[in-house]
Amino acid sequence: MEKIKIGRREFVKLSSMAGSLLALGFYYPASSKTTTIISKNQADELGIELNGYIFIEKTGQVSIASPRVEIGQGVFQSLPMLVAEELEVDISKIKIIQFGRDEKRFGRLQNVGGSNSIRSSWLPLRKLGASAREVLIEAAASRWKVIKSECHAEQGEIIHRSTGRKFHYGELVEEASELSAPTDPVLKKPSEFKILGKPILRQDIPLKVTGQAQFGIDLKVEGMLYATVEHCPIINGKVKNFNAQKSLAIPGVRKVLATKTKVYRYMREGVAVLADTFWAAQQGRKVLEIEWDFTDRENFTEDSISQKFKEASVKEGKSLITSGNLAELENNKYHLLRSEYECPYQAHATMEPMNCIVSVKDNKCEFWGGTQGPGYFQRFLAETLGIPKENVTVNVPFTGGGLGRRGHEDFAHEAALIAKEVGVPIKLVWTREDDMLLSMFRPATLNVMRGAIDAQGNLIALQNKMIIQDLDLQEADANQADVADWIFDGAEQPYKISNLNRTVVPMLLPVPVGYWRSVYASTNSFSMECFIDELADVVGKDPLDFRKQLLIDQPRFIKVLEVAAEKSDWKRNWAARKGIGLALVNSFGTICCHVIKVSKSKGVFKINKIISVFDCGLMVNPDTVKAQIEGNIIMGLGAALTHQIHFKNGEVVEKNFDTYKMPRLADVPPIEIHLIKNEEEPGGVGEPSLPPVAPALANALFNLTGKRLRKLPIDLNQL
Amino acid sequence: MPNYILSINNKDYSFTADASTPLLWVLRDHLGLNGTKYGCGKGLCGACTVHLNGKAVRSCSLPVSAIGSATKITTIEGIGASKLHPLQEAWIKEQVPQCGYCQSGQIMSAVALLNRDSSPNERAIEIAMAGNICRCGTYPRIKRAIQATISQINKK
Repeated sequence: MEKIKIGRREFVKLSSMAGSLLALGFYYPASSKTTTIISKNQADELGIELNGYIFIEKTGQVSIASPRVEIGQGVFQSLPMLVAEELEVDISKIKIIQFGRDEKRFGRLQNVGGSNSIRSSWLPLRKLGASAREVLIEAAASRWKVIKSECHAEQGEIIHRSTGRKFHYGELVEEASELSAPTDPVLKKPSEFKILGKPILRQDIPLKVTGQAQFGIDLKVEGMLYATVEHCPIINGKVKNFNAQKSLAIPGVRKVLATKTKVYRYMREGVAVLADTFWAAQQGRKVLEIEWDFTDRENFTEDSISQKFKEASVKEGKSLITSGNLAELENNKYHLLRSEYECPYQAHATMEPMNCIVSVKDNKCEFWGGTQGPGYFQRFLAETLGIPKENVTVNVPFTGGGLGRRGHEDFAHEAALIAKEVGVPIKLVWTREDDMLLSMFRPATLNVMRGAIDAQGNLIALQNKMIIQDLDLQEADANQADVADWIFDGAEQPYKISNLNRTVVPMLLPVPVGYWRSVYASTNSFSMECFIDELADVVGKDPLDFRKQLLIDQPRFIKVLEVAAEKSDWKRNWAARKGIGLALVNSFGTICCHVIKVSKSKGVFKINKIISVFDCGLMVNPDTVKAQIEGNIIMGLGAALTHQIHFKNGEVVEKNFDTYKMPRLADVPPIEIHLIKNEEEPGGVGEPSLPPVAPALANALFNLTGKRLRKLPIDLNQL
Repeated sequence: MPNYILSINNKDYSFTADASTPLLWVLRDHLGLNGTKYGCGKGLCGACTVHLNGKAVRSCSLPVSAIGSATKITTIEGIGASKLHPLQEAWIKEQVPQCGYCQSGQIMSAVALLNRDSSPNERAIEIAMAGNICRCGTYPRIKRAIQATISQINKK
């Protein structure tokens, strides 16, 4: 999956304003009581196109393109809102049109991940909207024979101030589409925003409460067959032979074939059953007789991996940052501290399991399904099938969760290989068991933290040594020295540290790993923010004050800490050891601090409250931001308290929700969110509030019990 | 393969399916009713929740041959078809869904709860909704939407 580096911007080219026929996308009729969403775009249905995003009918109906993938984070509407704000339209009256892969229209960047959709679109999409507004003004001014500065745009109309004359956009669009658009139009100031920064209701939500929203798993294509694959339960096993006689006798089962899908340096082997219905395919799969070749089996467990990490921790590794004099780490005039932190493998467990439809025919390929990388999947399928990129169509429906999993192309790859072999469209649906077994796990980690602190609380030296599988170094020819430069994301709070070292010891293990919500920050935050607390404690300092001291030149961080302190009545609770802890993480361009309050009653530990302070700069929709924080906290609690993938003889143990227990409604403590309001550049929202959960919890439990918890998950019943 | 007639959302559907086919897959593959979702296939996640005579059941674990034509089945398509159910309105007001995949099941469980108890307390809500997983973490809003609906319907 394309990895979006923090701070990178991708500017969408402004296409020519001449009207053009629109590409045909995928159509599913859907209407709710409040809005109509169309996703088959025909020129006569949508009106005249003004740049790649805006379509205006002569009636004045405005439609705006949704260029990325809706995985729950709200971009279906929040990206069009960037256009709508500057275009000056009534947001409740616009239609939003979901597009699939369309590089001509949208440029290269259509993926969702790295909490980057708003950040990378904030200026480009606003410019598109403003530029369209300018040509509409120009068209009106020209018709009225007045100068442009006497006219302004308001809610779908151009108004001539002094005479009150008006045109709605439908009356102007034809002329406007012939004019050349300014490439650097004036944008509104945040104080002028009418919809950005407001909790506007999402247009996809009415569809999702009536069951009308179509997900990948809901789609059907003429002539398709369902595919289900009995995968080898271990990563480097092979199909020795199989007997499909009983399977083929099941009514509805059409074909059985062996599959081999390359996943990084491994071949994932299995046997596919193709049938008319999902259930017939499952029935056929149940009676398959497969003999596996487990010759290359590695009998590892999560404990044997943990042991390997410990052995590897004495290696030199690769130093990513070294500043100052690391000998201070051993200088006995300071307080010296060393702690080790462990995090386990995690599964994504999106509610919609991996699935897709792939059709391969006549040097063309079409894909329907939830993907976080329409552009990446298009390129991958083109390369894999040996066909031109332009011949690969990627259709994108609503998606039942991404969480990073849907940036990995393996399920599309598997479907494409089957489709190519059999020559009919294949709808591959992984069962929940398949989905768990074939997770691209969040990597397990061991962090060896060493620090030196003086009596005044100055952090003299810090070393963060991480033992981990690098996500991007899983191919056979990968050079393990090419460690990702962002691998310490989430541990890079700008604390004042005189002498600093960050080192990685990369591991090669037979566990495929992948992008899991907040990625490296999800584990880095635990070791870093727990260790900062441990250092504070060594010199008897309040961990909140300690952090403020280390962030003395960082006003945005100080502000977040001060709000957290105020809202949680921090000082009093901490001093009285009521059970309060915090963690502060900056990741994806955003600062997030969680304060967690715990208590113990009748021998039972309880999380009483989580207070979150979040600074992501300018926001599109503050309610969506809150929803993302709530969701991240709940996912983070699952990771902190429950979730761990075990392996037995190299096979994943947890295959469904009976063993991988998910947080339920009753498990959610009260959550109080404080959004910092400022006019800073937008930071990411989809992920930054997950990393601080586990360390804040561990720190709170220390405050209450005096016990340090350095290994996740934390079983509250075992404390 | 046997023929079946089922009453779904006050309409009779006639079709042929293997006796072991779960109701979930009858709905999705035979009858084109996709609002009910597949999440786990083992009755653990609630995404497949429908009503049998107004009571919540997990359709992934219910073979079609066990149902009978006298049973009134309700799916999400049958809730708020002409006018949104107060729960659906509350769901929109609270902006509950994120990805939305689990939400049909969540709403079916919530409707069933209010069908049998128009004024459940917080604990009763937690118990009734315990069978529905949401990976996006919309639980706080689900709770608020249910509680708002309870206030609203009990005002009358």
